[in-house]
Amino acid sequence: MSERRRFATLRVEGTLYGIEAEHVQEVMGPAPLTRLPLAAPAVAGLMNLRGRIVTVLELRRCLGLPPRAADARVVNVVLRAADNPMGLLADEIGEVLEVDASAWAPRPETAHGPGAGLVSGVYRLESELLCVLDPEAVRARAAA
Amino acid sequence: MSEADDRIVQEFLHESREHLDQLDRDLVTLESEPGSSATLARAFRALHTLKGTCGFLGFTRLGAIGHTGEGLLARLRDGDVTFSLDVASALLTLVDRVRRLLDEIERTGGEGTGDDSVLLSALQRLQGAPATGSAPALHAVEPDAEPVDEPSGSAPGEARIKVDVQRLDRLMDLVGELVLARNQLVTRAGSTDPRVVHEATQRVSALTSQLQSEVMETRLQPIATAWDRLPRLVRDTAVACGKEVRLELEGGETEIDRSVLDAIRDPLVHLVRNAIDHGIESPTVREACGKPRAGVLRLSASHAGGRVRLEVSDDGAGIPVDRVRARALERGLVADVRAQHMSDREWLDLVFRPGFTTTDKVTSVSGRGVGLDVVREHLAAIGGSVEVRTQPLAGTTFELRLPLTLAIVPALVVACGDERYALPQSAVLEVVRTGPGRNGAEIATVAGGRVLRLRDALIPLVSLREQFEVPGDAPEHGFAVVLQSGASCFALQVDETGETQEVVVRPIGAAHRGLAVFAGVTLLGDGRVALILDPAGTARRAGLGLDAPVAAPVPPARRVAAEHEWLVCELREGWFGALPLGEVLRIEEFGRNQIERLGGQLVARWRGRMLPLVELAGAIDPDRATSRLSRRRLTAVVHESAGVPVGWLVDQVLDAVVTTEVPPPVVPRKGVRGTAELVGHPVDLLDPSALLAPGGSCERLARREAA
Repeated sequence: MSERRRFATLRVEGTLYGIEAEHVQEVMGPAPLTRLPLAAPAVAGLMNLRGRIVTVLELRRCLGLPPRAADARVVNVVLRAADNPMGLLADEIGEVLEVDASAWAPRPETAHGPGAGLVSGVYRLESELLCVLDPEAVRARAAA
Repeated sequence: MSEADDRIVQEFLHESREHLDQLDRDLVTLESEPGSSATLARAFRALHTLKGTCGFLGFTRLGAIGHTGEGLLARLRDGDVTFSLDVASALLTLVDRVRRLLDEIERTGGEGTGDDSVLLSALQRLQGAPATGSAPALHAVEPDAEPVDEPSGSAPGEARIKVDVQRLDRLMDLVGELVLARNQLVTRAGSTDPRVVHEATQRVSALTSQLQSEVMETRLQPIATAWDRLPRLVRDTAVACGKEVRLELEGGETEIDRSVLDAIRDPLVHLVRNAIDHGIESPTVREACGKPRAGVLRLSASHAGGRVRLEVSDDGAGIPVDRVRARALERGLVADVRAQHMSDREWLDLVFRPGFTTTDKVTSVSGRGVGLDVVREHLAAIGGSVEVRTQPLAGTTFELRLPLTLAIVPALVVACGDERYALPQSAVLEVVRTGPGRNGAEIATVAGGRVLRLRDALIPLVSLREQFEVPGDAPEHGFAVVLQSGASCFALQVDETGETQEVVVRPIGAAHRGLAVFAGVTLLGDGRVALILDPAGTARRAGLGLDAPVAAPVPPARRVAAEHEWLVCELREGWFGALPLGEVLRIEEFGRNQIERLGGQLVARWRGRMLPLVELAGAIDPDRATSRLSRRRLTAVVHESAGVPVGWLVDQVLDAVVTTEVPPPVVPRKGVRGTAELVGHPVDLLDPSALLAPGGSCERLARREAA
């Protein structure tokens, strides 16, 4: 029996992305954000998460996609970290998927887009592909 | 090394450093009082304990040094050897060497390799010297290459503090109560009676504030921790400069946050060296002036008005203001126009300018490019300040004012578009309205750069909106906040200014630390995150401060005789009075819920202290007193009356006016100096200081809070 892995899934501009479930602390609706001037382009702002100040990234900007329409839905996926949790803004949240490790494929060599460095590999699902986001690579965009 | 071993070694390092600090102090004491047997015995014990632990842990190098030093101390204790300068130097070198070895052990776990034979043989030779015989040459022992006389803020042993057990118990009690209150809140959360929920919330809120202040107090340390190593520093510096100096320390028990302590260590070292090198004269010069050979260097600390005042004074030659003036003019630091109007005090303040020095002599002790400007900059960075006073031939005093803590700072919240930012209140010099109209300060453009014309000064103007790319256009009427940044100042243009509030400073995330324009982050009352601006970083980003510093504008009170500038208020319906504007600190609005009664006296919390509130009309004429407590908001003119801030309650503030004379009063009364026709009404010109009954409850409270 092959190994199975659990992913929290989210969608940005129609594409399905997954983050290993253990890295996700919680998913929440839009919260008031304080813009952080002069910060890296991917930084959407700072939010107050129950008294903790958390940096929030806009996945669309990380992935080089056009900005979201003003009235579009948005979800905030909070990545777990002992000292420094981080929020990711996505279009919508999907279900938690359990996938078979054998369905994994490395990132295709043709992937050169702005978000290529964030995707560590791809799972072949029945109907579509699940792009796996590397939490550390995503975090690094807060500083770049 | 196993974890347990590691812990033992850590404990050893911590303890040994405490012993060494003690030894340092004792040796310096012994130099002036060689006969003190109690001090000798303590020094002996400290070294003995150190040696014992070294043997137990297998640190042989340390053991050998400790053993030989102990031998010398034993001979001293028994009176076989007298305490001379050479003995002191040798033992102090021992202390330095042991300190270096401890650092090495902390870094690498081992003592490292090195040759201690020179030190050891010197210590042995001194033991053998007969009590009255000739001592070896002055510098028989080479001092360590890097003397440990520069206490750095991050000395490894200081990462822990001692907390009073009783305080810890109180904290535990508070946490227990808080848990209880939370449980109550949880069970009552579903209640339909809003009073029940309100009561539980109030309790949680009260306990939280109490807990916050208790935790803040655990961070407090006696200020003596910052000057622990000064006796040694003073001794070494005095020897190097050929001076005789007696160090007096006073108020060492004054408590202050340890973050502030860390921040003042370096400035303090600088001021002490400066005083010995430049302030105190050489023994022969002193004798010629009729002073005792030994100069006195005094440090005294005390609490003053919610801050800590720390004075570093010497009884030396003083700073010659004439020389400062000549040097400043020669170097073009001051424009001729301004020079004619400068007071001695303002001239003296130039010593804090970068690169300013009145001596051409560079010694090994000072004049190494680190000037008083750095001291001022360091202190400004933590919201403190430094001023200097001097008297020719009698001495110089540097007065430092320090915040009690860095974790909570008063901040002015400003808005630009939809965004809000917090500015440290300590850097805010003044807030002015900008835009068309007679109240607005003028904004002018000079070669593409904008400046604020404020009274006589031209102050570079930085638009927060442009710097931070805030969306939207600036409104016609806005505000400019004049900010102090190092030795210079600049104005920050914003849309709105809010109130001053105490904010808890949180570090900005690691990823954004590179953004030097922000000092930190805080949560505002509504739960939104606000960025705290670092004035110096903002100025740098805007490209300011590269040229000559811009002097802060002369406060209006000093420009025009203060007694002829008035703030006109309506005291009660149809009765107008004016307070001298020069002593008005602020106009405040208090909500009724912010006001409390303290033994019959109305008070409000203001800038971290209790501000007595007095009804102005009633203070002049008790028959015309009026109760305002039924109103929702009260207006208070915070006025420095008889040297202390008092909030005078009035109906409303009308205008600021200037009068050329003070006509006699129409109805003479206590506190009324005159009556003039202003703003279309007869207005009583008041002297609030006279209204404050000396020894009255209000005056007492104001003095206590200001102290």
